[in-house]
Amino acid sequence: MPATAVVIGIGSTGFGVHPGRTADDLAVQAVEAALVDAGLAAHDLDGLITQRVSSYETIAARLGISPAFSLQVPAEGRMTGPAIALAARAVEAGECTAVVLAYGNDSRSGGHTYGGLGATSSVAAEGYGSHPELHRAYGLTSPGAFYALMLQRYEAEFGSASAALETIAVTFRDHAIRNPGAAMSVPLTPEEYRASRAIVRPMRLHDYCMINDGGVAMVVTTAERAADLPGVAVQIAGWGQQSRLASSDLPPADYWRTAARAAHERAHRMAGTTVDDLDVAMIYDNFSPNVLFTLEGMGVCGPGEAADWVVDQGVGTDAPLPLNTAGGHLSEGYMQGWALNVEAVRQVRGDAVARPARPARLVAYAATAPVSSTILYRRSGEGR
Amino acid sequence: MSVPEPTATSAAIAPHLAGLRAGEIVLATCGGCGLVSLPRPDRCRRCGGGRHEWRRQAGEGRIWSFVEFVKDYLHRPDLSVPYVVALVELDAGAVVMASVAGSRYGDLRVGQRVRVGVESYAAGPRLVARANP
Repeated sequence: MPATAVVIGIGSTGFGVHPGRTADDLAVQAVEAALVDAGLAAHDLDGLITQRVSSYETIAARLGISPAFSLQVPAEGRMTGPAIALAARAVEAGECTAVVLAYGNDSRSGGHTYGGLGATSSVAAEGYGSHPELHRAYGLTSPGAFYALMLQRYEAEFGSASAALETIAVTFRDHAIRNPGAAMSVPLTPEEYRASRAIVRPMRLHDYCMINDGGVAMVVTTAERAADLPGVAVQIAGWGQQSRLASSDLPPADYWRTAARAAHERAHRMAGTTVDDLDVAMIYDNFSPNVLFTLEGMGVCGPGEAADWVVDQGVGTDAPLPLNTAGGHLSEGYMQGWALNVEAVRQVRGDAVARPARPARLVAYAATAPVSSTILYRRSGEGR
Repeated sequence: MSVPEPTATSAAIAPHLAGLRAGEIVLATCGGCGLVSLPRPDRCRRCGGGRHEWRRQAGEGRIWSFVEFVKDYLHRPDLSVPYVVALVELDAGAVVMASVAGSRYGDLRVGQRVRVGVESYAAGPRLVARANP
């Protein structure tokens, strides 16, 4: 019988401000927590995938390990799904028996900015596209501006999305205030959302995620190995990715729907499931409009229907498909997808803080971006 | 993580930037299928062709989308907030970025006809879209 990849351990720091601590410090703290959760020691790890830390080398050295397989993926959040899929492949191929995924981010205390071409700004942080110098003369800076361009066209094509974006921001904040690890702990009212200042019109303050400090880790192993460990294993039931990189300098006319659909359907084909089987979804909400684009990409609703869907169905824990139950990037903290994946695992294990009425059996992580990806999590022992 | 100043300008964009300095909109056209692009790809995304020519293009087109910067990220004298940036779909087919002059944000619409031209600023020449009278 072929090996099946499972998540056997998760760990995270609180998210927010951690002055004086480096991304490496935060990543290692999260790894230690994930090892305790897994019932494993650092020396049991033979695979290491890192992101946003100083290097895979530093993390391995700090953990005192020399893994069979080591890799640091690029710092963009679109690489989180592909990194998790790679860990799953490594254990299923028998190349590794236990892979740790380690993420650390000290951007808040480090004063990193997105947009503005500041000294601490990276090329990726300026926005999208292959040649930032083409955009510079026009003052088009920051990833948010790219989404503002998409939102403007989306609203011209399908009608106002304001009520849906308000629902998303207010509901995710409600999820965050129940989560003791979240960066945001005060409620956001609809009135406050509507009164919030414009940043790049048509987007306003609460449509943006925040820059935070924090660390997140996951330990991936095989179901066979997990059977001998004390923790609850969660199956990585399917994964898929699809890029839209040709002509990536400009926003896509389909809001990445085609690529996101391909990635999502690939994951479901692998798992033997469909989008209708999802109990909860974690959507990469770097900016609130991306929740709409992703719902349409997943096929939860049709093109141009997401704003009405969000307003009609809601996205809270009592909704038919609860989203981002720990607060998401908008209110839990911008951990570039990693905290969303940890919350997906918690939902399947049943130890999440905010639990839907119906226990989650199948949970999706979906990111819509120039590289779109989906990861499906399911109770171990079911399916495939 | 700082942004290094480029030591060379990529062949994918250099003729476009030279065109701006000469007051012209210069974009890459695929010799195989005629798709107009910026930056110039080495291989056409539509037909896979590897032969592109840089050609002058007329500035007539429609607004594809637009945004207004309210937050002052850049603190540049030539871009005092609020300023509007548009993507314009030229009648030739390519989408180009342009500053918007002569119209307020609230008066602009996706699909609106505009004319794009090259205008010079202290920071250098750039494309500027103005609504057709």
